[in-house]
Amino acid sequence: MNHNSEGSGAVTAHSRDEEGGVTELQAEEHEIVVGIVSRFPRQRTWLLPVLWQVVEELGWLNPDRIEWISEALNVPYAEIYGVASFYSLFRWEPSAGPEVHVCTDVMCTLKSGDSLYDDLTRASVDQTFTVASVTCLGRCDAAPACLVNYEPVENATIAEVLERLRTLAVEKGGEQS
Amino acid sequence: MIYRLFPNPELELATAPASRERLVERGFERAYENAQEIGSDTVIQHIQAIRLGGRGGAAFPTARKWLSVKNEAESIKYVVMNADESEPGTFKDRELLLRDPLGPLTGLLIAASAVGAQQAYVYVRGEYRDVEIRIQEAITVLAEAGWIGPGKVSIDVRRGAGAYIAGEETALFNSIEGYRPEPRVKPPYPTAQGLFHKPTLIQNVETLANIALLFAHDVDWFRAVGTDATPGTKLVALSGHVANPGVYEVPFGIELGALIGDGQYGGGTGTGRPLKAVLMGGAAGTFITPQEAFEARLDYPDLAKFGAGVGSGAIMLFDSTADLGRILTGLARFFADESCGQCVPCRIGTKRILELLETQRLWDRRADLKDLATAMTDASICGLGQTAANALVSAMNRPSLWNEPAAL
Repeated sequence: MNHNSEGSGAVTAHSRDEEGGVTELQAEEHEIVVGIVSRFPRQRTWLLPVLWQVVEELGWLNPDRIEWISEALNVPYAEIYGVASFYSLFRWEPSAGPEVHVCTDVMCTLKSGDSLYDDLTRASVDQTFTVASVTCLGRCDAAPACLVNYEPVENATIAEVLERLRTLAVEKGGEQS
Repeated sequence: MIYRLFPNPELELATAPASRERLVERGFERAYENAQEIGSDTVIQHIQAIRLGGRGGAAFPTARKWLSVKNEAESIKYVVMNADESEPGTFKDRELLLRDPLGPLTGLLIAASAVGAQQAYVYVRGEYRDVEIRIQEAITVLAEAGWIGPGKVSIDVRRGAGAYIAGEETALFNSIEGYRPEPRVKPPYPTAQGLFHKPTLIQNVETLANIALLFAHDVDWFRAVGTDATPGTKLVALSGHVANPGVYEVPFGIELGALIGDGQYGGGTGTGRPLKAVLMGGAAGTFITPQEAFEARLDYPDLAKFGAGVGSGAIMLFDSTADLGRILTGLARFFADESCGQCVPCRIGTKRILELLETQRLWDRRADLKDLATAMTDASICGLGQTAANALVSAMNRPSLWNEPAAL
């Protein structure tokens, strides 16, 4: 399990508005989630692909989104939450920018992966990206390794990771203009 | 250098990993047709004749698995390629799938037709996006070749999402089915009740690549390298304090000393400092001393003399600066983090081991630790808990690892 995000989904409250009604944003997100579920056969075996698609389109999971998947698949909320919360690559909180998963496992630590994690954590105080430590990424031959928005960076240095993040920010800016 | 599981350098330069040319040049087209022609009984006899064992770590006889699934009376069966490779030191399937994805996929299709499965799955870990893309490209090539599609076997690629335990075969089935990836109690074994509780053949990537090679050639060709006990080659992953980390294809029986020291392979520690310890086989493997490493050969019977095994082919090297206590703590943390928490011996045991290491009470509590390791091995549901203490126990059984490094 991811050291940092373990179980954090459970404590996030439902984001209803003050009267307990459904906000406009929620209605929009609800439509997106239901749309995603309807793109797959309505069988439980498609749950993990559905969860990935929700994370890719909306950025993270939260109790509302789990509930909508639960309703659309007709599987209890607790079951869906139980599956989704098992996996460490799913994000449960909104984040302003891309996510960096840094390997702090044995072989990467041998090559200073732990200091890379510390340095990146310090660099992320400006909140333009988030950092999480993860177990082995299967790239011990190119240690230390990390993922920037799920894309691998091998023999990672802080300079290179920050450069990747800058490139991502430029690409994102380009998309929006 | 030997090139079997990996294409030779000229071919690797001349053709794209996922291309029709590669499929033909590597002989995989011939393999696929050959396997269809000779029929499933002969296919399984040939696998038996090369004594192929699973290359994921457990080395279970492949032919026996195939025969069990083939003999099941059910009309619906599945084949699964386990590409959920993920533990410290193990990264050979990543390299194989990136460099030659059509081999393992050809093996998967040969498997499907031999056991009578209509649906195949490839389960790849979520951290291997580059690998997943390469697999999809390769599947397109196979579809264009007319091997998959309507009325034929279809292949679904499923992406994991960060859970080591999902690589355990029955946990992997649960993950595909949309349940928590927790291992199931065995028996029933996957060959009788696997994915969707139907007979299922699940194999490691490298095992399936060997199948494609076997039928692209023949039994004699396959047996021409390796040892009598274990014909063929193995992909080994060198990491840690090593000059040339990476994945190497080597014949079974090669001297470990050569693998570690020769310039064409590891090239020594690369740090100018002597070797202190070698972790063989994976995170749940066996620590051996440099002396043992320089006596051993890469084969099951030979490594068994040192209480070690080939495992996944992971070989992790540590030089004289490596802090063994810290490494063992790291390994213990890995297993404590990745234990699914379902069964008590593993859930509690992995945490207790981590505590003993973190509070440096390892040597005072030796007897307790031994009891704990025995309980975990005997009573855990799956391989994770059963083997989580292996590396630690092997290190504690080698006092020389804790003293000054040997000069080598």
